[in-house]
Amino acid sequence: MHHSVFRLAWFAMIAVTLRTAHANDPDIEFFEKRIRPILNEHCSECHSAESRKLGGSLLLDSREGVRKGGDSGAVIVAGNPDKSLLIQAVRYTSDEVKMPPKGKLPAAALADLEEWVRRGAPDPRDQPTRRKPASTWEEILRTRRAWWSLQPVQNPAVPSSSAGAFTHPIDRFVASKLEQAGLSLAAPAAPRIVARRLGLVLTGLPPKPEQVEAFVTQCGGEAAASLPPAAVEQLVDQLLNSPQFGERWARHWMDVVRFSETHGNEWNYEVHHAWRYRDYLIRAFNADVPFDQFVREHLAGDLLPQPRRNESLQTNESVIGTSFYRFGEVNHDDCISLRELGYDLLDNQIDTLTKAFQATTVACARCHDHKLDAVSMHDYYGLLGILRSSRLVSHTIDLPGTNAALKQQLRHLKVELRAELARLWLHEASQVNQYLWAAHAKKWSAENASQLAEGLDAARLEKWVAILAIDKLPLEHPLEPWRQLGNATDPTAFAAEWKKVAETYQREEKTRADFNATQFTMYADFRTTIPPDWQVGGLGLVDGVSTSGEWSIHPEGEFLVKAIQPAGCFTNTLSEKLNGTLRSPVLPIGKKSISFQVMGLRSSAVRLVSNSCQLNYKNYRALTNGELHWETFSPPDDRDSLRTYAELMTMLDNPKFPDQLSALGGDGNNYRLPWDKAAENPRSWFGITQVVLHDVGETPRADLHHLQPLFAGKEASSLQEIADRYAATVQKAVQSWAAGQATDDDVKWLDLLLRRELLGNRIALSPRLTALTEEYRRVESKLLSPRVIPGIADSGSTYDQPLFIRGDCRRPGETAHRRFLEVLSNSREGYPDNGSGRLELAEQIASPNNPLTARVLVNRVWHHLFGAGLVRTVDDFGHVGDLPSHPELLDHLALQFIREGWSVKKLIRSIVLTQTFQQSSHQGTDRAREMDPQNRLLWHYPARRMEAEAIRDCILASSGRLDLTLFGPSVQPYRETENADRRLFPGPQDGNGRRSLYIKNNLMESPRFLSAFNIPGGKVTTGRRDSTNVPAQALALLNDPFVLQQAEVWSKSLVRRTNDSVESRIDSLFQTALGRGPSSDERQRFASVIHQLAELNQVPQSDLLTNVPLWKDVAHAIFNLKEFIFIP
Amino acid sequence: MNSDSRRTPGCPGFSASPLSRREMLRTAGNGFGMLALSAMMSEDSKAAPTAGQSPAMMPMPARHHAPRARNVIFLFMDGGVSHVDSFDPKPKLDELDGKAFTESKNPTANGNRLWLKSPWPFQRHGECGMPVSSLFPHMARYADDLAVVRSMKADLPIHSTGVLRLHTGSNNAGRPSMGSWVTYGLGNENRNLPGFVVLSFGVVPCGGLENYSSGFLPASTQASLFQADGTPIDNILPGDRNPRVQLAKLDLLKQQDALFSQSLGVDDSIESAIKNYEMAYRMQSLVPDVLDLSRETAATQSMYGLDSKVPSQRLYGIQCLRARRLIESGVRFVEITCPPGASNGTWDQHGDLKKGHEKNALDTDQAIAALIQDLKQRGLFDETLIVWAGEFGRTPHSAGRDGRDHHPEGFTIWMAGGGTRGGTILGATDEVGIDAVEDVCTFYDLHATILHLLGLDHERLTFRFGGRDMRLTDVHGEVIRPILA
Repeated sequence: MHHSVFRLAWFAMIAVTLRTAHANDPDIEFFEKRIRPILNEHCSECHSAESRKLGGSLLLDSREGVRKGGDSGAVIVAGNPDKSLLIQAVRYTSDEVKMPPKGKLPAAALADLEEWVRRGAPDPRDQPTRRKPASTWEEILRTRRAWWSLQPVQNPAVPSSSAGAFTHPIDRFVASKLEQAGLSLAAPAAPRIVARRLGLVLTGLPPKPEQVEAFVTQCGGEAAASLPPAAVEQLVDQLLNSPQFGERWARHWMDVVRFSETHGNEWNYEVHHAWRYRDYLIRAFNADVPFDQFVREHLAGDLLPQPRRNESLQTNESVIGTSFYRFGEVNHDDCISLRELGYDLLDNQIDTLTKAFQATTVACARCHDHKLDAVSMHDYYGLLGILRSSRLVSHTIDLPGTNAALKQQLRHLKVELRAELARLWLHEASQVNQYLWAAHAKKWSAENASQLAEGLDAARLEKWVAILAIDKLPLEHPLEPWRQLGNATDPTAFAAEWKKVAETYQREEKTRADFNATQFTMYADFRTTIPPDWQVGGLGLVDGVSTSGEWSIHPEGEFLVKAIQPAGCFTNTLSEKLNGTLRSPVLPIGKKSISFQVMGLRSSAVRLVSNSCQLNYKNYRALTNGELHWETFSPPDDRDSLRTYAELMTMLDNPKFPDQLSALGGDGNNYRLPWDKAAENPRSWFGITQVVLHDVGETPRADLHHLQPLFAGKEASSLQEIADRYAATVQKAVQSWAAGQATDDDVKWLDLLLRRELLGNRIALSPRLTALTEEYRRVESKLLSPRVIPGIADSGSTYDQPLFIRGDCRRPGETAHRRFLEVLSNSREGYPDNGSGRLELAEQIASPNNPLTARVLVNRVWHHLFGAGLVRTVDDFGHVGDLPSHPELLDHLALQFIREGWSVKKLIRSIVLTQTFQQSSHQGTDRAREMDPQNRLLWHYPARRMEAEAIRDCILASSGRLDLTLFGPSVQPYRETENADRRLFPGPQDGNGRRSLYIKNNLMESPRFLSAFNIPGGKVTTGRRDSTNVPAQALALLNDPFVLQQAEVWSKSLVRRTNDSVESRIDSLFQTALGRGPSSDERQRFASVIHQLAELNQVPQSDLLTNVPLWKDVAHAIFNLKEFIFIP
Repeated sequence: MNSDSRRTPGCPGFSASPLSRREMLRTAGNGFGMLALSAMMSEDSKAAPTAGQSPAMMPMPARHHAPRARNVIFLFMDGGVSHVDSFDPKPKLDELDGKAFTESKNPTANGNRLWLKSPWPFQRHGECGMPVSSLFPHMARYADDLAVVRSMKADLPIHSTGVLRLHTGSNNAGRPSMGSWVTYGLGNENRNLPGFVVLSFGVVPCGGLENYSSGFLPASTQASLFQADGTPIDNILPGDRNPRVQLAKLDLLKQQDALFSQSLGVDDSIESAIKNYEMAYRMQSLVPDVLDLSRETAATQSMYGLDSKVPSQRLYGIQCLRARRLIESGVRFVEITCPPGASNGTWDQHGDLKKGHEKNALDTDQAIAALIQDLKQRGLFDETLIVWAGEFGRTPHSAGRDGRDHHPEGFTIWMAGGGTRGGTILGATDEVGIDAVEDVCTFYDLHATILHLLGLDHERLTFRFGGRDMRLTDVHGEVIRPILA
């Protein structure tokens, strides 16, 4: 009885509580008969203590579990099936979950579950779940922070070497380990081998023959038993100081930051100007920029109070580091509907950042706390918050003084040009009434038409006629009142007609002003100043806004003035070569629409950026109209959490340039060409006057104020009087403009007359105008084009990111503070709100107290010098990574590295000067091979295959085709045909002889020859490349057209040698390719093969030394030698 | 054949006609050629299995359970075939045709939309009475051999993520392709051929070549791409016109490399690099041999459509026939892509549905049917799993009047042979073909099923990378048991 009373109560109060069913309760029967079987059959696999993986942390095998709910919170609202997530899930009406995943339950089961919830989910299962409660994160972290790589860097004592022979601390660390294993270092390698090894390892090219010979001599000959330190130091310093050092080590670092020059995905957009980052790396490694500075520049180069300046290039170097965020794959789809796209992109940035600098797999914590390492979801989302408080932008890296003198000259010339133009126009303005009359007469075929045309320019008059012949002009058009009044057929009724038109105008002006005032909220007004919360970039906007009457100039052709502009912000007031970007704050919630009053051409664009999506086509609009007009967008409703902002940019700053699918962007100019072709003419510009917010479905109406002079004052009694008013208005406009006092109203008159060629605009109008224009254009042509890089910037406001339950962006959870990893900062406190936090993050990573940064870098260097790191998993120092083979040595090097000012060159120098580095690669003893097959103890120097780039570079070096030019835009990789859909364009077979790091890294398709040798893809950090050994590599060296081509190049230079014999030529081939002469056996073997090949090719003895195909075969064979592609 | 008869050294103007492969090796005498020959002779002895006999001399790697299939041929329907126009008839659409459809959540399918009925009639085929539209008359003849899944559900309506998901299980690049997993799991059967081959038309698929990548798995499991037209694989044609010249070089290399290897004491990587030259050398002739269709009878060639006047149909026929020859030679996993069509995938008919789908059907239908028939005739059908799938289906509604957009919410794939149960239809979409509502299957399930049929447990086939034991099916996937024989 008890329960039925109770049930009555909850029906009455509709406040149902979850029920505990007791024995003899009919609800128990209901549960046992109907509910338990459903739960057992359909739910228990994932939601019980026995589940191999518990779904959504939800247990349905006990009362306690059902009531506690899971990751998404409570699953049952007692009495209310509609509000219960469990019921929504099984009905398949929830957006979040549809259960069971394999298909809907039978209708009967669904009805039973609904009834069960309606009854208050009575549940007799009082046995608590047997699943062990999970440890708290605090407990877990306490254990995990004991991991070796998280301990402070120690200063281990350098072992005393019982062998006594070793003075260098590194050798003593290595030797002592070897000694413990009963092993020892190998004998020193031959001087020639060491020279080649050094050249290949430090510069990626064989050393110059004269360097080798000098070195061998200094060492006392080929068979020197030891290498004099002074000789090695000299060679090492030569190599470290050669520009090719920077190229080699830049390429290593490019693997770490997943360098790529396109974004892959369907349309393979360009990572614009990515090559500037590559050049930055080369300069940085050559200049030995301290690594802690290098870290700061990568993470926050845009925020450094004192950025590094490049005086010779006149650029800001530090900001280029931030390009590293921008590589990798980027999707172009609508990321408002497909939110995960934005989070995937930032996930890749977090992954790269944490692997590159901390060798930590933080991205594992996107969906759950890291399974093994000391990284929580709060850590991951803290970093995500930092990135979401930042923006992916283009930076112009020119120092502020760029072009200053030229710009000053242009400004002066513009003053003179304006004066001369005004002089000419004043005269023309005084004739406006005559033109109007003459045109009017012509329109109506009046008898005096030809008489009125006398003394007027016939061509100009035709333009007037043409305009007046238009049936209807917009009301705001300055000639519309004239057209209306001129149509009046009865001259006697003119006064009445005038009154009617005047009243219409007065009334309409007020209506429009009222409409505009009530329906639109000003969001940003660029007519007086750039709103301070907008971010400005580019060389075209350094002078801020311009006043009414500022004007732009045609860069070429017979016309001078391109436009006379109202007050606003224009990138082209001096030149269309100068670029510009404008970025708004995060857009405010509320109004449905946002409209921009803009003009612009040539791949400039206005768009809204949501959720960091750089290439998405939604809310993107190319500017294809050189007159002011409105562009309207509907920002997403949740623009605050999507961090939506508005952006305007010129071509060089436009990441969608050249737009692959013009239909989406509206930019039909140049969308299926290589970037450099499309940007051959980099002129591009935009202007903006205001931005408004509104709900109404139209844009602000044009105001009519500029027409007031026609209607103000006393009534007009004749058309003649109106013509005079027109002339007076234009004259006044010209006068104000000449005096620099034009208003926006004046500008409307002047700009219209110019655009319709009703005012003279040819540079030939006067000799002075011609001379000034030519001078202007000459100076303008000397302006340096802006230098732009892809980077990151603070967004101007901060955003603390909610955790996403199981990584699902539709399921926000607790808020994470923006901060660094708790285990490394020993704090959970968030960064202050005065910036994204990147600067703080940079400092924490660049800190000498960070246990990972120095260790990770030192290990990367070791990896490149020895082919394997002390920790072989160079990108992962966590639990899945490898343990260090020589932990003390690693710490010793890390500490020394920090002490010596984070100098990479000093670090490398120190390591290569050791006997460990200079030992022989001969694998002497079977015993060592058995004990340490992986050579982790370094009982010999590991000979290994070179990387793809080095193989190609060595081929070019041997053939003589190598072009050692440094820097610059990349060369397209070789490809037979173009695939414009994927932006894959064919480049030269030999890459113009440039080193391989200048071959374009295309995310969609690696350069063919290089990819056979494991060049990394560019999507994820690859600090350690695969070095596979597959037949494709043999096929590439045997048959690739590049290899054959270079063999021919080499052959052609060989056959030109005079005073040569087969033997001396063999010697030369060996010297060039292998840095050594042949043994007499080898010389003989080659000679005999050469004769055999001559016979096969039917080359007569007399042509032996001049036959190109023959020597091509020999050169080709050399390229295929293992010795040729191995670091010895 | 007497090789001496060809040798007339010193005779001006003489140019040797190409030697046969074996002859070439024999005349090369000792050294490299001899070595390559001996390897090839042993290969030859098992190169041509007779009908019904599988090339089973090669040791089978360990499997988790008894396999039903030895090989997979994956027919990738790039761009997404319309399910409501092929295997999932929706009479309701005839009723709704031309009526307004309220806005779709799918960003690639928005705007003013109208329901669109199928332009193709459906008929029942086979003993099972499976409905197949008139698009695929040839495949329809094998209705009793197809196991159709009408309740596939993919993730996003985007080509790149969809294609990656289908191939690698992940929306993002960097994961191994299913062919790589299979090769990793089963090993390479023919050491002279790659285990995973993609028969391509030179099109870089959406998502990039990553779709065929080995990801974190050993690079040897990566796909080799054989092109339909022209040279089938990169650098397979000898750069040396005269085979004797190549052999002379290879002999020289072998001696020099041996010296270099000695100078290092011993180095496995050099030893295996030397072996690679031997394999590369053999591949130069073996690959063209395997792909040489002139050995097929005229009847077979014609069955595959090699006599078609339509170049794309002929090329697709070539690829299907090559697929059969490749699996006969021990290649485990062969993927056949579609001839180029719409720019983001052959079947991607946002407009011109009628024309586009009919053209693609013409290209592929006959050859696929021929493949089934041919495999049956040769007794290979039961051990070869054929999978026919695209990255998603197409919307039952349209923004124009003759196009359909991306549709991952419910669509159709089929499997045949290799332990599947022919004549089956599993799952269903709702009455308008929008949502998969019964027996929903994902690509994880497809992957689990493929592995299962090959004798591999998708939960146990793992590779440790980046902190986890990675799987093709991540943490998902269930074998689609109802379609197993």
